[in-house]
Amino acid sequence: MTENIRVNVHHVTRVEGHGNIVVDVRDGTLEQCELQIVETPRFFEAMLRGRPYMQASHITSRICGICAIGHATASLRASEAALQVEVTEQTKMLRKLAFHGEILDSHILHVYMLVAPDFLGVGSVIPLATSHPEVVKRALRMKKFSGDLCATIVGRHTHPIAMTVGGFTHFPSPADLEKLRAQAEELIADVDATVELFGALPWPNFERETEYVALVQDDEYGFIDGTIATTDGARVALEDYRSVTNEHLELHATAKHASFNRDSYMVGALARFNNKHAQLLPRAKAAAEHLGLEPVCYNPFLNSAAQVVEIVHCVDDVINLLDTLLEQGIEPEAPTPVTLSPGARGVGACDVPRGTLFHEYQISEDGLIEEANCVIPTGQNLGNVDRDMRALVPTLLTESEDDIRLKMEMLVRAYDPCISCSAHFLNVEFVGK
Amino acid sequence: MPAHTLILGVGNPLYGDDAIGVIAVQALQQRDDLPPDVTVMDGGTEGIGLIPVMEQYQRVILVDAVPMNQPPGTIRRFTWDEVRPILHERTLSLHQSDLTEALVLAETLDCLPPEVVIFGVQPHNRQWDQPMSAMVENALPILLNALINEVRSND
Repeated sequence: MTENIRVNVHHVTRVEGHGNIVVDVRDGTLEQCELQIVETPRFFEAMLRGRPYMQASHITSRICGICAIGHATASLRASEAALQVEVTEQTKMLRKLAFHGEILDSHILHVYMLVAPDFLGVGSVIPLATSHPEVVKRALRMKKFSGDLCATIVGRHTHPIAMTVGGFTHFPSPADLEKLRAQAEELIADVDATVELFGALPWPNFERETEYVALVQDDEYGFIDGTIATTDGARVALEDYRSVTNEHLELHATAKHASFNRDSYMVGALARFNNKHAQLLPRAKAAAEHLGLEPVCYNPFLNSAAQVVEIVHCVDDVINLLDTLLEQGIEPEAPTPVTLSPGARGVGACDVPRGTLFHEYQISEDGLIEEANCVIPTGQNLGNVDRDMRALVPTLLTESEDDIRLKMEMLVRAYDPCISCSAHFLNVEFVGK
Repeated sequence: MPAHTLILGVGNPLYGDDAIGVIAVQALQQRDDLPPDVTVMDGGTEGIGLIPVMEQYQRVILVDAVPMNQPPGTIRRFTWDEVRPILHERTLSLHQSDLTEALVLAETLDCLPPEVVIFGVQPHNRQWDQPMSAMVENALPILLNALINEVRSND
């Protein structure tokens, strides 16, 4: 039994942004264990003030190069809620297609490039390309599909330009949709191989009960709009999101922490799976079973497995959506007009790859943003990461410092944190062996 | 049969002289004297996403700002074989990997185009919110001529 351990990982790798892991065990007692967030705050909410609502989705999409469509969609939904805009079924379907493209892109990058190297015994994707070239080539093929999907629907791989308040400014042709449909069909073998690969990985055996928060929809396992649901049984309307997020500051982080019915909660793929697995499409349900996922799953490492399940779900849903759109045909529609009124407020919410994202705007009668609030998934997860680390460290004390460091990094990576988004990241600091 | 030549400008136009690759391809896209088998593309800040794009070509000519400890605006031509031995293997640490990692990964996966040439321009500043420096801007016509001579050579 080790009495003193000091772990200090300065800037954890294979996550987005900058964070440090600090662990200090003295005389067998855990003195300090935290994920320090050292990214500079970015003040996007202040940038929005005084700008026309039409610019908000384009500005906030720059919060993230990965969840750009997610931020743009949450932004549009906030403006649309404030300006009493109902969008058409076609707009909803096109937004879902783009959103699925981004979920796929982000999940594929995370499970293949950032998580798989830990399990396949290599330091990064570069040696992985030597040891398992077929795995990396598959990941690149799948990423190319998701990029092509986004570019076809919203005009660009990242930072969508065709989505606007009330609808779209550009529409894919039937030939575009046919091409995507053929590409998606070809991808199914790669999706099956992904489930096989991740189904064979030895996920760390660690559980800690916590609350899982996600958006739920009546009729589908969706990602845009819905009601806030938690595994502790709460149901909260989007407008009341602040009663769930309860953002507060911690001394060791430049990003805000969040808590609801317990002292922390988790958002993301595992939280969605735990709240609405019954609505997964059939092949995704079968994938969950193959990966050993059962709700409620309290093992945060299996967030990556839940991402694999969502890859299956999204590819199948993309095929369904494309079939519907091809059958119905796409009508070039003008965006639904807005109704401006003094002090109009609206909340937009989406489940982006890393979890539930909220945007809230107050828009003046002149169409200028008077107030904005953005609550980012990684920020909501930080308190839960800290508590998982505190529960995990005592189980690792007989292991070598290198093994402790690796497990801690794997835990943080499992959350797929996007620290630059939430600070608005990761180094492990061991203190004292 | 892969398409022939891709001129790929990369960089972030918001970061001062890092714009040079993108500015160069924008200028080339306006010209009508390029050989017909040459494609000109703005690669932006995309990293490994460029692998499936590059592998469709026989020859890829990359244009980017490269710190080389030379006077600002200095243009240097390298082949991938010249650059490869001096790179240190780095771990993929950010979501958005850079171009070097993309090239190393493509080579490891055996899908790098047969000919990869890099035109590097020494930047003066790469600060966000800064315009391109006069030294780098003045190098643009020379760079464009060098690129056109390159695509016309061993065509």
